[in-house]
Amino acid sequence: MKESTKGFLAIILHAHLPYVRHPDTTDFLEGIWLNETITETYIPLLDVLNGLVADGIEFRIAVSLSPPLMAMLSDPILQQRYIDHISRQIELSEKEVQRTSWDSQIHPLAIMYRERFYHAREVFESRYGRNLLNGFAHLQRSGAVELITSAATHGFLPLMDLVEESVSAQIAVGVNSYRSHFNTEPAGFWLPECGFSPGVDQVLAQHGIKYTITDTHGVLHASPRPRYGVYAPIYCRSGVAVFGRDVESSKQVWSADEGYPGDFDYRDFYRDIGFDLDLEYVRPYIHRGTRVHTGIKYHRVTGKTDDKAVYNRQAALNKAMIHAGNFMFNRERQIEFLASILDRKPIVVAPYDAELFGHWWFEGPEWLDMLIRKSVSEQNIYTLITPSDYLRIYERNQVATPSMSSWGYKGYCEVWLNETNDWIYRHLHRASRQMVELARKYRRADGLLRRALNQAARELLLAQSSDWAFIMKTGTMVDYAVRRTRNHLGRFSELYSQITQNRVDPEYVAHLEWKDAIFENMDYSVYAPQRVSAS
Amino acid sequence: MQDSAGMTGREKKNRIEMGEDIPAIQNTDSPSGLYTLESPGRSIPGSSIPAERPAFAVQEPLPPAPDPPEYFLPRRYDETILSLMVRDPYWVYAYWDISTTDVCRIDRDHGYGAWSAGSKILRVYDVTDGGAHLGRALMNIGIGDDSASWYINVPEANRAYCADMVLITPAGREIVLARSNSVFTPRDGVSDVIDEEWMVLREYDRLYWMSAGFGPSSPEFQRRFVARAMKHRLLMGSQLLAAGFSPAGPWGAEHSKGGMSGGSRIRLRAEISKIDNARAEMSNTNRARHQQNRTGRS
Repeated sequence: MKESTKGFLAIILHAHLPYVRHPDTTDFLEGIWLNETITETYIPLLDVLNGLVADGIEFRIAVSLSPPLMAMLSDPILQQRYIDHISRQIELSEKEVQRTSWDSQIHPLAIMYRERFYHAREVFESRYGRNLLNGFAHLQRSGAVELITSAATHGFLPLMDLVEESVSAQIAVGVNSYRSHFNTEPAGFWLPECGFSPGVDQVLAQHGIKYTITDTHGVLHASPRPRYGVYAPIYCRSGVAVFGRDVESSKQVWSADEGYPGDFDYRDFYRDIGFDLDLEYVRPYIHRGTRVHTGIKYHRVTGKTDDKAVYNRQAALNKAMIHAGNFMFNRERQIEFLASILDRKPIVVAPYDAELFGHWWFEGPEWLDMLIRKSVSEQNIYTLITPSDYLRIYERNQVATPSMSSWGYKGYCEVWLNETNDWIYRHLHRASRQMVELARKYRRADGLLRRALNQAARELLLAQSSDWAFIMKTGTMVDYAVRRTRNHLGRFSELYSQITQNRVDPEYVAHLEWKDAIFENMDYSVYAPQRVSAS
Repeated sequence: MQDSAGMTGREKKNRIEMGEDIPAIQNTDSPSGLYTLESPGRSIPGSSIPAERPAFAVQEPLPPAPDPPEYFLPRRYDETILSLMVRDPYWVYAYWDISTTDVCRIDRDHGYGAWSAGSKILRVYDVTDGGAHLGRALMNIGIGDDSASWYINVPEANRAYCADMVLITPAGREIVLARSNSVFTPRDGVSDVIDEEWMVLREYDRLYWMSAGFGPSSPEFQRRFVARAMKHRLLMGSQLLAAGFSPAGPWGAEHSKGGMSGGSRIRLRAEISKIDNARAEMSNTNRARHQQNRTGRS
């Protein structure tokens, strides 16, 4: 920590994608989500963080990896599919280098993409052994990155607490998943969509979680009123610390109007050769004749116009440098001011979706790289830390109960509970009650029955993913989200019938284990935790 | 609900036999000399015995699925239930169902037609200070026979609510068909409670005592602790919370005594909403892949 530091900046990146794995087919559009995010976000972020460590930069950052993402990144089938995908990308980029050789503006960009794709395949295979979790684990061991976990399938917990065991199971399985991948205990827990409701902290505490993060008003509206606003964590009575998101630093990155990613010099997300070029030319690289993004994009945002100018990489990187400086300057002023009025060093908590960086905001990883380097070498006002570090510095914190909240639109539950998706809860709650009933009835089951119970738990957890309700709300790819919800609930229901009617079909169970193969170490007893006597 | 009946007769070649030893997941293509986890997460000792071992490792395609390609959910489960869920400080969502058995019972007990001709009412109680029997009924919402859910606009944030599904028979008799769980709506602003309490986690407490050379009952420690606590009490009424964040303006521009002003609060929410709009837009594109939207950003 810098001697003269007046406060702290905690950057938290939350990496999550819904669990999309269909071992029986590659014929679905949604598989591209993981593939393109590996190339555009996860590998660039690992590159940036590894580069900082290699250069001896002393920094700290927290990275949340959701259990579905962990499961997918470590899945051999999906790893092979990524290799196939990036190999096709390489082939397309080679064609592009040839095709654009006459164009002095676009040709260097084609070469850039080709290099990025080759690099992605190389590090994916050779450096990380196809499993990017190896890269994150290495960064954690280096001391720079603090990895934290999230709920089992990114379930939105405030809408689950009608059946409390559902919340407990999401948290227990999320923590177990982290343990099994990283062989250590998570200090922090990312609440999916920052969805907090009072009581969830008690479950977190039972699993040894030290801290979590809520949206701004989760802490601001806590009771009693928090003395330091969001600039210090509060302790729930359970002992779990809760950090509140800082509005200002969020706005600078997220805001559609004022946020950095919309800068005219940055690469445009929408213009992609998958849409721009002749259909026959791109056909092998899109989805069965349906135009999709290929990841090769040659234009910059330019302005609110369809007439996009060609991307200038150097100008974009210069702008990223300016924006990193601007972000740093604003944090310096903010922290200086806060330090002048508070009787302790303030912490500014800046959580972001990891997928913003690289995938949506192409220059995001470079911006982060520059921000961290500048923060370490060009200023002394604040120090980059993680929430855990803060709790080691300030062991004493105010006790208050955070308010129910989320970081979704309007700040509560409406994104996941509205006329487009409210129909799912009747089914989800019923299945949850049935799962609790099974877990209580069949304690210490073994053999096939145990496998069936574990698979029922997997199906329920997969149905509870907040992504399905979210997609129903956004209105695109709704069919997929509805189908996933229905199918997982349907499979759960069938398993419930087979178990309670004592007719478990080994073939059916084995098939589902193969098809919905998340959480290999699933233990259904998380739905019937043993009561500890108060003796 | 469509079930998976009819599984008999499906192809059974390549099926996984009970007790068959299935190879652990291995990535045989991984080169050596890589970053590796200190302990491979997938080999937790003692976690599986053959009969319990899931079929995760099977990478050969299985035969045609022994589950249907599509499942369909029933519209209702024929159970008597009334559930409430909180959407935000002022809206609570209710869903319900009344079982056929209960409907028949009502007709039996109160005369045929009591159900179909009776009025169905969703009665909402404020139960912040006690159960429904103590709470005051806030509103009666008339429910059509085809409805199975409702968004209830509740009058106050930071209150506990529950509801009853009530049938009023043609004879004017009220029958409670179902009682809901109770829910607590979140606060819509800063708390009025300003009594502060501070905590050091017990493990830190112990470390602190030990490293400071004080036993837990040391009078010196207690004296210091009390002195520090007093200092904090004196600071309690400061303007720090109000000054500690500035929703939209330059630093410190939003000071106000006694907490955040209403205007600031509204601005804060507006800022959060704006951010979330941008986020939703991003995620929308990110996850749901616009197929043809090339009209430019925001």
